[in-house]
Amino acid sequence: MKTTDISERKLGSLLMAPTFLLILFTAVIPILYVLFLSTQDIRGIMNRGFVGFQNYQDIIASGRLQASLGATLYYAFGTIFVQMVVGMVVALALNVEFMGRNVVRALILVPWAIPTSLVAIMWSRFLSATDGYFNAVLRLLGLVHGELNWFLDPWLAITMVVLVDSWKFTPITVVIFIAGLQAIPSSVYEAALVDGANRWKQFVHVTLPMMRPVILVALIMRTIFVFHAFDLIFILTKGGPGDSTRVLSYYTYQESFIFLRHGRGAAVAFILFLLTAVITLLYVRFMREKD
Amino acid sequence: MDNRPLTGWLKVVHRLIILGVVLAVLVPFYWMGIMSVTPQRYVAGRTIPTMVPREPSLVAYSQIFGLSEVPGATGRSAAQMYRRGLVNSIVVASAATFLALLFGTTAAYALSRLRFPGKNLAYVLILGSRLLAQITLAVPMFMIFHRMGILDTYLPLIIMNTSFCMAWVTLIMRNYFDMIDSEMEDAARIDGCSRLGAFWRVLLPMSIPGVISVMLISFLFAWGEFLYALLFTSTAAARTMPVVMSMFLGQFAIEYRLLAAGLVIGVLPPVLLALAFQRFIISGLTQGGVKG
Repeated sequence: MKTTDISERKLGSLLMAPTFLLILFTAVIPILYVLFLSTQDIRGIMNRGFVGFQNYQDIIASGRLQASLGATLYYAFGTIFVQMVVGMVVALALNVEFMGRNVVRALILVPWAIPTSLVAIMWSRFLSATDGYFNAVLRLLGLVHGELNWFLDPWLAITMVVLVDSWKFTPITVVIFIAGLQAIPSSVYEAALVDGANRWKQFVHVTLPMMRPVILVALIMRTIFVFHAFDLIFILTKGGPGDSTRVLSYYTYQESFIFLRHGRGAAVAFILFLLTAVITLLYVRFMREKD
Repeated sequence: MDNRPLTGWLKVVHRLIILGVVLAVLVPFYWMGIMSVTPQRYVAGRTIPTMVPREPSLVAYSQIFGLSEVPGATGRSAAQMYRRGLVNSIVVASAATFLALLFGTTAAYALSRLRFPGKNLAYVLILGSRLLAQITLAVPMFMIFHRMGILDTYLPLIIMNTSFCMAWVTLIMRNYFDMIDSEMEDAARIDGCSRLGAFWRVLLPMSIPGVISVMLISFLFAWGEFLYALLFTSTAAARTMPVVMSMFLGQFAIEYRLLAAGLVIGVLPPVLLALAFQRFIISGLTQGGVKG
């Protein structure tokens, strides 16, 4: 027994080694490196050495961090609200028997399968103020006259980015919600039916409570991935107009790769990391409780 | 669910929602398709670009594949870059998918079946790494790759894509292995199979659906990965298709139908894969999402 134990430990470590080393090399060490860089005054290729928390003070004093947090928050609430509500409505609709249900369920996956960057490129063409199809349809319906530039007004711009994001990512919440709905035993509904509950009451008193864990998981997953949003911003708005769509990930990119202030960029990146870490810890704790 | 059929206005609302969903998915595809076959003059600068076929032709597709001449120098180099980008995307996505599967399934087996030191730490690190925003790693990885002298090659893209996909593969496959009873493997081991033999001949064949789903999800991720491809490449040598496409929008003033044809070609492989293997993808997604 003892010999097999040793081989099990060795085999386990051996099989885990490539994955562990790659994670170490591409995630753990870089994060520590980011923390180090965030304390350095680096501009272009010049490193003027250790400056303590100066970079953090700079990004706060310039007001850009707060603006970026604001944009991120709007983006997060917008996408999560749309994707949760629309996701739930569509999941409920697809959970009812109707002709062609399997076809529609398959179609749902299509936007999700398209790379985000290509989604952005395609919508940036459709949303063109002058010759985009989207405005053309609105013109045909008589809703828009002349040119309407969706990316000129700060609120409109970020709202459009939220909608394009939702076009691509609502399928995930739909798929997760359908799986959750199917896991609810029909006996629960039969009991509610006996009590004379109508559909709305069934939804509020049976479906929602039963779906709570699933909704929470979808919520946490979507929250985490909001912080990943880069492709859409880079292609659709480049952070503008003003700083309305400069979410944290784009701000990091701008400081590091456009202004070449790697120290400041690293400070933003580290704040972004801390935020994801907090949400991740909540997620892990929640999963532990569920187990 | 309440199994009584919908009646009255509820039925109307339901059908409207379904119609809305179908239109929301299909209309952009129709637009893309029509744009790819229509000559520039019916689209560019028109307040109402044509939404029905006018002088449709597939010339943009043959241009992008180099089968017919592209007018103008920018158009020619754009088509050339696109072809190179497509090849680069295929190389990067295939290599990353293969490596992620290799590392991920073995790590998942270790996490699911074996006891070894550092197991919990490894699990937490893998879960955490999957959730990191890509941009947080961009600066340090850029500097590391720069020092290694491998920027603008396939290597940094393969490494980063492998790392992200591998984490997915490990977590989903661990769940998958956990759901399979180890009885069969135990029986195989009594018959003289080694641990690895039991994994390879017994557990893995039983897990084919799971393997297919993580393979697809990895490939789709690597096919669409944009940020690292943008930052770690500087010439056409390793630039992948999505980055080339993003350049079409800005730097290159190319014909819309060439742009649209590029989009259609870039979008088709993932869409066809998703439709053909929808069951696998849905199970992969819900496992990743619902079960963590």
